[in-house]
Amino acid sequence: MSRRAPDLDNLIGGHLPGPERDRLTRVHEALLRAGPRPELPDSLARPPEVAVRRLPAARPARPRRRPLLAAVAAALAVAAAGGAYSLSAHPDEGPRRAVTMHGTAAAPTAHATLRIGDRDAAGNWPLTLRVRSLPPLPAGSYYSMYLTNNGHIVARCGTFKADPGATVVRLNVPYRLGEYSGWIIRRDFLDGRPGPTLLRT
Amino acid sequence: MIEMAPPADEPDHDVRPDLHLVADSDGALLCRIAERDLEAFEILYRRYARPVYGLALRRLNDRGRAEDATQEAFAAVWRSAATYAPARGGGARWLFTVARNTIVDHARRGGRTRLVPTAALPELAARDAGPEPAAEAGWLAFRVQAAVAELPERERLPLELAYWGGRSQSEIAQLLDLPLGTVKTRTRSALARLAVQLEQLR
Repeated sequence: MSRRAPDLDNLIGGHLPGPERDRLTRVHEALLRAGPRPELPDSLARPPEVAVRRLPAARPARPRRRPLLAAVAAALAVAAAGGAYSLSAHPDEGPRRAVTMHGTAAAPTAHATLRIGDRDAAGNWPLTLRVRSLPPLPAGSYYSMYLTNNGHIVARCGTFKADPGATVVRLNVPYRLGEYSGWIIRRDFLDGRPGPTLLRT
Repeated sequence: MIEMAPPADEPDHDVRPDLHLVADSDGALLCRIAERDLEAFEILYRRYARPVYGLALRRLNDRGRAEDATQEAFAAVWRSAATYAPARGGGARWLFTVARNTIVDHARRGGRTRLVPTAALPELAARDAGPEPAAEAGWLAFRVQAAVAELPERERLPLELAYWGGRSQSEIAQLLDLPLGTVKTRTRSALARLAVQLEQLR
């Protein structure tokens, strides 16, 4: 294959009015001068991890939100960079970003990790929640996971029940995760009453 | 999968700006990044990773260092997005300046060397040019490559094959299994769309 500069007349035909032709000629020349776009190496397939890890120092606004947002953002960054972040003995699940959730005073021994998968084309984030030592559910209640902003609940991610030991729950959320500052897990009642918050990021 | 030839009345110049370009302008994305929006950061990264990498390759002539510099450049974008002032110019120019400064700093620091075969480098580099012309050449290539990335694939493919693949229009038609007229129409449409985008990226 010979490498040759294309001829503009051949590309577009010779029937354009003057101003339009001048415009396309400028683009044509710019393309020739710019050269081809380089192929991205695998190492640049995703945005840099370091960019998000430096989040807490980036902007002074919203100081109350920063620590939680940083936790979420840093977790997202791990996967955004394609990095491995192995949390447990489940190598079959492959590299994931993850957030750790800690028990509140209402559930001091509870613990959870939330793995965030790759967002699908439609904009859904698959979440895998691995939770253990949640207090038993009273009759007529269930657990709910919510996204929060500045400590306020803003979106529900799903509901579930759990064994006394460890339970894995799979959820899927369509939200823009970067707009929230954290997660909580709460006990809710079927009649609509909220229960105590049991876990938070 | 067989690509069907488009109807004969395919428009010559469909250069209406895509809605997402309006909603996700570079400036709007930078403002969202300043608010710590990871999705905006990923969109901007997808849009500009290649132009920034190309810029780094030109300046550093070294693949490994260019990769490092590209990562550093986007890290700098994330860190300093709050300093972007829409009133002072477009987002692309701001990003270019941040990237170029990062790459220049990287070049000054030196570092590991992994040589790039000359044939793999873009052909723009005016190696004898002084700092000003070199910067302008870099800005031009940056804009062009960013604009090309935003083309619909059906227009981008014939354009890239024509300009950088060394293919004639007939060869492209054969390669893409399209009528020759369609290839010409799409190439012309791509050029017209690029003209609009390059004006927006000034």
